Amino acid sequence: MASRVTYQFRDDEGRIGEPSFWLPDPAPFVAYDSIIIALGARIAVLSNAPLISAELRLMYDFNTGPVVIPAKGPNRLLLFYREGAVGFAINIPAAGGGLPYDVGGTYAGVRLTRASLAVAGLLADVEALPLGLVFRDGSPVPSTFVVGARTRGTP
Amino acid sequence: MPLSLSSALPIELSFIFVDDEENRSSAKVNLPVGLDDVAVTATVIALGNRLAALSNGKLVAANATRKYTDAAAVAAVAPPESEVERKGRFNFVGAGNVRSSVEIPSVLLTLTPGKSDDIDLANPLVADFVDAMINIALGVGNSPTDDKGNDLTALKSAYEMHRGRSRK
Repeated sequence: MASRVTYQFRDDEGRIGEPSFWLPDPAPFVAYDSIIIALGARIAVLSNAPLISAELRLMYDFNTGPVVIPAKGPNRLLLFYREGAVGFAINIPAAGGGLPYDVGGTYAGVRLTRASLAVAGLLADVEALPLGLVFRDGSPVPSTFVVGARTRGTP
Repeated sequence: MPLSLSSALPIELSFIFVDDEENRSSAKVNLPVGLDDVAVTATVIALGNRLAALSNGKLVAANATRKYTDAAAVAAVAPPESEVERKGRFNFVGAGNVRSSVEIPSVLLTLTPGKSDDIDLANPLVADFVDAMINIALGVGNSPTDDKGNDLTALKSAYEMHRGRSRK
């Protein structure tokens, strides 16, 4: 795992300047918070531009094995969740499981229902995905509200 | 006001897949901002494995991003001298003499006295910043590193530059 902090400074024309550097890892979030805030204060006093925000990015390595089919990046499974008026989607690149793909190149792709996901043997996995996730406003994504899915591909 | 962890913005996770032609695509989700580092790491691993099981692509990496904001600075009007393409470049080194640079946008004009581009290292604000970067002000083990994870131990040079113009 590696960790990198990026600060955002904004000038009078709305342009953003972004100094960034690596931080030691792993460390508890409270330690990262103190480092980022303290260093941000020291950098901010050296600049004419206001320091408006910062991001801490934790980077994890994965290696899930070789690609097993000619899995094109544009082929994807989009899973839709919704609660009230708020929607949420997860994009799964190169989705497998024998899902139907539209090879005609249309934008809409192939629509899938809960029933078709169940037939493909994926419904349980799909419903387990959003456990613990939240919408951008912080409210939880409900796993029981899988409202549909579709695959999208290119010829 | 200083930066503070945003309570309004969730932690963003991004899972990066590659296909047989090295095309990249990602799956993005959000986590509650209140999770600690152990919970986030556990979620990244568990969710990454679940997503990978649904894909024929290869999951090669994941990022978790926490966000900090300063509401007063966001609302502030930047002064005319705030051009961010004029930078103060600080070149640090760590073990192995690997250079690691930080470019501070719109570095104060008063830090480069006279006609020189060299930043005044005796300036107390500069000294405080350099001190923090090379492991003194914030304590051993809490300072930035180079891209190999080596602690930064010395400042090699510091000067003002503009975008598209640099010097050795």
